[in-house]
Amino acid sequence: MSNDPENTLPDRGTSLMDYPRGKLITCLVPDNGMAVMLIVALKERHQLLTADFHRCRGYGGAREPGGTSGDWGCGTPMCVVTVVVGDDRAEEVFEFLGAMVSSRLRGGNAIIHQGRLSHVTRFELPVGVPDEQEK
Amino acid sequence: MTTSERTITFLTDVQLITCIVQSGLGDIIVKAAREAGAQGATIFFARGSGVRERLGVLGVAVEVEKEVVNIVVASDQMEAVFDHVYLTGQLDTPGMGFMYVTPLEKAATYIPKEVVDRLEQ
Amino acid sequence: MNRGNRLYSSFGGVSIVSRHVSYNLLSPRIRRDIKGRIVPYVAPEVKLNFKDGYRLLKSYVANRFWGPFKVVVPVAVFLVVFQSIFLQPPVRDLGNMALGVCAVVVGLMLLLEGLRMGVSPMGEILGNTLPKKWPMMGVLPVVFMLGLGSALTEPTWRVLLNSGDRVTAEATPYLYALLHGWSEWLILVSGISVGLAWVLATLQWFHGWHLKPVIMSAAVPPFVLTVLAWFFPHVKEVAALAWDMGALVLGPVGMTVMLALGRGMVSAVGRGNETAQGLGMIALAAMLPVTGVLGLAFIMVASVPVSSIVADAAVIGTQIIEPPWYAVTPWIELGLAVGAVVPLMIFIMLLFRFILQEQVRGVGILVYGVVLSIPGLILLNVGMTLSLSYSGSELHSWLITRLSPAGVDGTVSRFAPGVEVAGIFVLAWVIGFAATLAEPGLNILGSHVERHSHGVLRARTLRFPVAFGAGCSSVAGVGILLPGLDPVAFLLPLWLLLLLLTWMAPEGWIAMAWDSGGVIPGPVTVPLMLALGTGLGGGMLGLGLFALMALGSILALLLVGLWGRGTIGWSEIS
Repeated sequence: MSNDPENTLPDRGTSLMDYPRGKLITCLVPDNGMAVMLIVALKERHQLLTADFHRCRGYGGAREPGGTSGDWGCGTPMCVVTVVVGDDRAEEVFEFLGAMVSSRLRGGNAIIHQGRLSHVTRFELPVGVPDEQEK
Repeated sequence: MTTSERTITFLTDVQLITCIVQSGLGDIIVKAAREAGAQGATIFFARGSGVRERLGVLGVAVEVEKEVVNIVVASDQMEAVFDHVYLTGQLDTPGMGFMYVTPLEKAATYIPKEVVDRLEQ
Repeated sequence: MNRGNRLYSSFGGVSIVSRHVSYNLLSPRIRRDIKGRIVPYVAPEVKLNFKDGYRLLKSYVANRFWGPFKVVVPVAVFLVVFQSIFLQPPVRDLGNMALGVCAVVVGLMLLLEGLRMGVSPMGEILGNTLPKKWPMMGVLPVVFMLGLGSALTEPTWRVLLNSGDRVTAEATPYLYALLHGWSEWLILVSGISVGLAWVLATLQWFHGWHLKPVIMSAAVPPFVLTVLAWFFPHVKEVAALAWDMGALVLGPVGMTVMLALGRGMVSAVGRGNETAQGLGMIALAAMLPVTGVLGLAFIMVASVPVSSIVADAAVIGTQIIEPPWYAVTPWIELGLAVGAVVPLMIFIMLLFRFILQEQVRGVGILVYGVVLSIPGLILLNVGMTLSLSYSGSELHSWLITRLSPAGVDGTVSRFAPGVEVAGIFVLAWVIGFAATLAEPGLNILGSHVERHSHGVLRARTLRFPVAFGAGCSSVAGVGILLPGLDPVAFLLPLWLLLLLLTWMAPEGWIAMAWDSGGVIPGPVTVPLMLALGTGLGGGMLGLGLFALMALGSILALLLVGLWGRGTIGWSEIS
């Protein structure tokens, strides 16, 4: 595009290729405390520290059997749990979350999906960091 | 190993449309998406940045409160929903918003048994 | 640049041309220095031409203007119509009225914007920083000071004190004493109670205590003390004052700081599963002063005999004091407005600068917000004096004339008495409902709720039931005051009913409901309701009316919460 020498990337020690690929698993659940439970479960069973959640309002979804749309009116309070996992463990974590979610919900109202991430940084805590204490 | 008979139905050909608009316009986007056949959407609030800093004193007049709308759609539907949302939300006006599509590898949700049975026939 | 144009679909008769542009071509080029580090890219300032700048400002101002406009103007029109029907002479000064209404609308607009852009973020940053930097023992005194300061500088309830000259020492000695000789004590006790409430609130945010037990146990002392007050001569009247102080002591500025502080602290120390997001504690700041003032009344009973109050009043009563220049419009409003915002903000600023040594980003916009809220409060108060309270005071004298059996000035009404009474009820409804909708505190609370439920609960879901409840209870208040009954007698059963509903309602809702009771009455409702109350209530000033309004709105919101269980947002959370 441009032959301006200042714009060309200099050689560096690390390149983006050093970061592994990964998956972003997103889990949409009702705002009833389940999000926190999932994050704790991910940490305890899968040693995953990369889970997060935020609140949102959700519309629609197959709430009743038969797939008729639920209420599209004012929206319901929901939580979005996101977790980043390495390629190798994505399958296992997805199935775990899927089972957790479906076994605790009566009529749907939850969805879980997985997307590809081209670069993921490693996130590890030093060994021996104590857990956050429940006050 | 669990002994219970649980099967997970994976959905493929799923895409995620994300649309970031000014606060208060999220419902318009959801309505448009529903009209174009989307079955669900979620909205959360966020704060944007980028324009206020560049406008100087007039920056105070820029709304930084945004709504982020996430819509899961089938890939066949994606283009229709995308266009309809884009046009209904008037994203071709300056400062209205921004949208993008993320391909998803798979998804899972509650699918009524009769629907699964019908598809397997 | 374009990788092919094609016509690929049509939408409502509009054909769509799609075009593909690489974002690589639109993003800025970054530069690197010799060592390969990125030279920070600074986006060039956007230069708006006059027309675009105008359009931007126009929509900015218009979005904020119409909200207050749509509420205030109908109230003003109603008052003018009401006066021209019932009052003789009808409306004295339409020009001033119009000017005042404009000032109120602009003032509300500026105040709301100032609270949102300046006061609220500052409170939030403080709430977020304090617990990270300091241990609990350091945080609590600061919070106490903030609460005390916010109560002492609150302009709204001074209106109540200023109307104290209608009280006589013979009929209601303790009330008289509290509004005159003991008024410093009244102020101090209320302020300290609010400070303590903020301290308690901080503990709740830290420990994530359940709201229900906190609110319900704070609700017991006011009830018990009021029942006790019934058995002491002349303390009963003080009870009404105490309840009103509770409703009034937290104004828009104070509640904004408190709400923001709570939001900041919850986000700093919370564990993410809090449903109420710092809500529920404004109610505490309303309930503790009730207890405090009633306690003060009992101390007075023990220490000061009635006879000495009457004797003192006889001496003071003969003097007529000319108000100094700083106590007349507009200087008094200016002083109160500056006092309500500036000391609190300077305190917070100093905390940041010298004690926390924290650099705050975006100071410009914070200062802009704080600065905006000062003319906002001034305009609001001056406008209220010019327009709504002015017509309120005319209503007041009309009410007094009409209600005395013979008619003080000897005029005979053009209407049958029933029509006038009906008129008063309609008036009470409009003032209660519409003025509540205009309350800045309720607006702030509404947007807080909307933001933290991510839009599941809208500001209007909160505001309309609250205003409806306030309207109903002001009608009920008129119904109580007209036959000369005591509002306090009605507060107590209502209080019990509220406690019962609180016990049943979901936690997120009770926080909202009780808070809404604490934020209305504010600067818009108080002057109007005070005119109504003092007009109808005679020597008792109609005290208890504000508390009744607050309780009515709590009741309405709790009922909405219970009725909408399962259908409306937060009720799903148990």
